[in-house]
Amino acid sequence: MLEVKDVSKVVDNKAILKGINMKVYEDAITVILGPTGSGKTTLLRIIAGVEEPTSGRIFLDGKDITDLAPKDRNVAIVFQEYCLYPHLTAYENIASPLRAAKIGEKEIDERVKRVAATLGITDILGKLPRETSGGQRQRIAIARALVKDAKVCMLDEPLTNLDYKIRETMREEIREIFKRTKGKIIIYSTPDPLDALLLADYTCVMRNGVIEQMGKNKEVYNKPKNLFVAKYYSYPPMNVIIGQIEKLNGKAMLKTPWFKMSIEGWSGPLNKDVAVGFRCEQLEIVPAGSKVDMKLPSDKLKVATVHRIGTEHLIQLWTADKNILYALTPGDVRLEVNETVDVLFHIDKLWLFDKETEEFLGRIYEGSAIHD
Amino acid sequence: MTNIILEDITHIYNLGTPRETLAIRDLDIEFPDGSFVALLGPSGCGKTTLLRIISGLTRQTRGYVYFDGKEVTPLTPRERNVAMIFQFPVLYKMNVFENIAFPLRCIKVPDEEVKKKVTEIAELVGISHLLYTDPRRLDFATKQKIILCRALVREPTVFILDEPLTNLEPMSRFELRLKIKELQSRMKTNMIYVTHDQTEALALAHKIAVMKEGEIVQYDKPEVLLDRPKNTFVGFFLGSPGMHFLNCKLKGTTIDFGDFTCNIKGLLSEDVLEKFDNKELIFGIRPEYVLVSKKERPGYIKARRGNITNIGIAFLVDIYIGDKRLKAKVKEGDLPEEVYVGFQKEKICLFEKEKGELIIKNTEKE
Repeated sequence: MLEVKDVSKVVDNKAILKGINMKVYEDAITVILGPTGSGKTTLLRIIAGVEEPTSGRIFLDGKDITDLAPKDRNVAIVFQEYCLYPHLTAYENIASPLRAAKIGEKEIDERVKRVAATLGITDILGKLPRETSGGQRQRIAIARALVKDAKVCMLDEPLTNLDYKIRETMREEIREIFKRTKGKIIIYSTPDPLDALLLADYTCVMRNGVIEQMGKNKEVYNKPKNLFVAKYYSYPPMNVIIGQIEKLNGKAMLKTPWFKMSIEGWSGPLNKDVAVGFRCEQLEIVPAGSKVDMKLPSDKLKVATVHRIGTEHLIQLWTADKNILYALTPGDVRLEVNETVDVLFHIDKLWLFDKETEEFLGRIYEGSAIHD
Repeated sequence: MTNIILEDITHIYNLGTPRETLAIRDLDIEFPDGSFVALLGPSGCGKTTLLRIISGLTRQTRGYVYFDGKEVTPLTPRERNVAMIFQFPVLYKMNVFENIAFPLRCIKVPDEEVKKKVTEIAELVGISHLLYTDPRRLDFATKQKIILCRALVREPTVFILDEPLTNLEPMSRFELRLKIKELQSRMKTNMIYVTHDQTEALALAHKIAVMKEGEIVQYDKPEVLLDRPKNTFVGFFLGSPGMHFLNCKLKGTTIDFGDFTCNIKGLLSEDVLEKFDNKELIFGIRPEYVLVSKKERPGYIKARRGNITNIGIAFLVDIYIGDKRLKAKVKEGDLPEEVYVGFQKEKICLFEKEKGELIIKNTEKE
């Protein structure tokens, strides 16, 4: 287990990391998710030993490694820019950490060939980096990290510089590769929520040098601790409307401009303004004049943009008070910009946050409150 | 607004030297008035070269470029009135207002009109509140918005965007993408958008030209490209994940996969059925059209469910039928280990084995 304890980093009087505490486990992929400038890369560099923390300690399997040189740490890192030696062949690039560790020629050859086979780059071992494609360069960089057989393997936004389609294939490959390795701690940093959804066993969401939430991937996605995590770890963005929680006849009642509902088992605060979050698939555009419950008044919703996501359309809707909401429709539904639409609102799943502090208050699942 | 036609374009870099490279080969394409077209393809497919030829930054080795019927090859980008926006925003050392006003100042537009136009476009893009600030301190996405304003304020004949969102992080990329879409549908400016990101092309464009190795493989509306890709390359390149392929054999109106079969009655015309009867084919299906059921249904095949991944708006499920692997994109992620799988028949694509070309014609009329 890798443990980061109270790690802070200050550069030019600016706090880049503010008291980071985290535990990272073996045989799992931990994704650090956050926007640019949230401190992801700095954290990885401190774990690798390329940068020093201003305060705090790093432990690997109980041993304090904070003062060790990078090469003595049992840690490997793949940088966003790959950082391959341009004058060395793929083979020599991969072999370089082993040569630095003065390992015998025969063992080097064995290990390089084994890792190259795992990554499917055996046939390009003789080539220089510039003679290979972006995806192949990325694989050489990963091979160089894996060949060290380090306990901790970190990838810093490894797919950012690749073409979209290669990114998609590589993402799947990375998952396959690390599923086969045993006993390793894998840390993967990215600004892309889709990476976390597809790769993570554990997810750690960072903002402004602070960990906003860390936990099992599914839990972070389904139980965001605050509005920032809910909005950032969501694609397309989560819809948010403002409402109030009130007490009526001894029962908690959620009121929004669009609907009122009583909530069973609500133990959160009452008489409060709340941000009500829900996902785009919960808004369904229905034919004009449809007789359904929970229909939103159509004179208030106007199509702003129609945006294709694969075989479906993501619709951006203007509300009367100039808020944007997102809805998803099948690709064969035709909608025009500025058209007003009738929308069916599936209110089976709602996330409630304090409007002021943005902290999580509770989820409402089919009318009942869940506060964990 | 301008109708743009490229005719018989070939471009060779380093012509006559040992490093001669063919970038574009005998290419024809038309960009209709007020359209939003995406040039989509992997790195090195020639899309940026094509865009430079349209804008006048690169002179093609052979062929003609027409703007509204007029051959413009000798004209400079400014004479063609082409606006461009690239991956990295370049701003001048002046406030946001003057940055946007710059192209108007160059052609000596009167102050009053400059003010009106700049204010209008800034309002539309949503940066009115920043007009009198120093742009250098703004974030990347906002800078790109300023460039957008500067490009649009001069009412260009065509607006060319070369991967303008590549360096943005996902959330800002998404927001700016919506902004561009909104602007285009309001202003009806001709836009040509270059990207390797198929999600962007699908989201924005009326028509997409899929490029590969200097040629246009297919040029059509997004829904046609998705449903009736001309070959397996287009099928895989579009959609996330792309189309899945299985080897099969056509036997009458049945597709034989070895372990199981699938009836496709009505999908192919009589002559096609006859021509390919008993031939090896490639069966293509998008994950969205692989139907997964918990219960047995007529026409469904018993299968084993593998990994389930939540991708936000849906779940991706690995499906194994015998030794064959497929991916399904479903709305409900709660599935037992044993499932039944069917295919949405009209969405099935069949390709001939040799070149991977589609053998079903698109029957939908324009």
